[in-house]
Amino acid sequence: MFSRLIFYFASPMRLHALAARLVRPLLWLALALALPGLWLALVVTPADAVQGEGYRLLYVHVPAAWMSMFVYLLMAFWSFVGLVWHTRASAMLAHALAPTGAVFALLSLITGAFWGQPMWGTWWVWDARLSSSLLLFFLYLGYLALLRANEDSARADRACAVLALLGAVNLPVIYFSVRWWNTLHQGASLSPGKASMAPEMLTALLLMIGAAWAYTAATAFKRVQLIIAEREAQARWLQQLQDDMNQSDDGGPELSAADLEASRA
Amino acid sequence: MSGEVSLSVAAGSVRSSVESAPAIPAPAWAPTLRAVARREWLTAVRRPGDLLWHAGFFVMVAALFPLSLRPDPATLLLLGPGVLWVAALLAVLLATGRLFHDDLKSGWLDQCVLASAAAGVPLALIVAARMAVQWLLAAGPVLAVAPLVALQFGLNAAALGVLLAGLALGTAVLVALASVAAALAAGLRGAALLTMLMVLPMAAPVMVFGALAVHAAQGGAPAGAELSLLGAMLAAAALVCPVLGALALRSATEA
Repeated sequence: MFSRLIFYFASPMRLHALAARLVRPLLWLALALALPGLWLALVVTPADAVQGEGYRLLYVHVPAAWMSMFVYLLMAFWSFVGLVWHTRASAMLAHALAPTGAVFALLSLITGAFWGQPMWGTWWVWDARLSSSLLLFFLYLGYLALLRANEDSARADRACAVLALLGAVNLPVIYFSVRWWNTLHQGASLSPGKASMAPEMLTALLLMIGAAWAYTAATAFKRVQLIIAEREAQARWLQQLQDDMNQSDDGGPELSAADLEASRA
Repeated sequence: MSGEVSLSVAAGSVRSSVESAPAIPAPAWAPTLRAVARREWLTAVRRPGDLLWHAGFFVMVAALFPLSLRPDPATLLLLGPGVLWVAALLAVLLATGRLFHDDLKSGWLDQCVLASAAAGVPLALIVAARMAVQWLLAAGPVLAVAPLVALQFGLNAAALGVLLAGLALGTAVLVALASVAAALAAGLRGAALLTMLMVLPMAAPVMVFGALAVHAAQGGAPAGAELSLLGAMLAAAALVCPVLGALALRSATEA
């Protein structure tokens, strides 16, 4: 069932159609989840007894940190599928996911630093979690740099897939090694002591996590649409589609040179 | 040059032997692998300056730390393991960064892929042979001068032994990882820098455990656990990296 779905959408044409249908609803979903989530997070929930107002960064920080790890796993999964079954669309999906994952990794680092300054009195600690997040961000940077350096798209697909798999093999090692290293060097590591959460806090957090998921899916689908538009520019079905879109004046997603540039980034 | 000739000769002889006995291609691997290793060895030995340069780089980086920090013995003792490992890491990476770049430009890699197809030798095995020789060439000089640098940082005999064992295992993992990255970056703009960017996050575990082992030995504690972990990493890398490297090289030669 699942593998049949993968192979059905392995054709760039079908993936393009699917992405075109999903981008808008997913963006609206992200907005619909984020607005009540933010309202709950910033207005309704009281300030934390210990951490004061600063704890509210958690509503951004936790989803970002989760997504940064999850997106990398997803990239590794699609890279594996692409390497084994030579489906080009899965490589494109992996490329499309990478920038979003990198942004979330950076966001989790920045929000973590802003949270750590008032709470721990320092912007940065060589703590296990922090160090492995930083290394994850570097992994994303390596992936993106390799993607940019390749001009031949077939080679870029395979090279990036190999790198994503190598990083995925290393990810648990990085996590555990950094943990052991620091427990030996630094004594007890600092952790946000949250034994239990108030129900509205949990709701807010879950809403924000859902919004992060929807946003990730929307950006990945939009980017995969642009990547397909760039790589399949000579395909007849795409030209047909673009002609149709330009004629019907409904303000559909028009492909401009700027969009193509953005997809390459 | 002679290495390339000997490789194709080996591949030719291998092909004839495979045709005569197609059931057992396994013994035919040896000449091809030997040719690959011989070529690397000869090119390296003919330019001994490069080997010296790896060792020299290691000593120079390690020597910069006491100059830029407080050079009192307690500080040096504390920093020694980490500094030695970072310096070794950089030296090995610098040596391995352009591993396949020139081979791709000169067409040797295409020869290699053709020969592996003709002789029935998996490309991963050739890559593994390449990694083994590269480890000897890149890490050997570093290991040879490591006692000298350890002396500067006041490491005792037990710590020095652990350092050498750890470096031997750890640099092998690093060479394997860096070879895959070099295969991915071969033929691209800024191949050496790209290799560094890809390898550094993955090199972190090796460095962590290597430095931990030396710290433990300095404090008189047993370092067996860390060394075993380095060995486990080497085993995993030896299995995974040649296959991934072969994949990367194949797509690099096709492009």
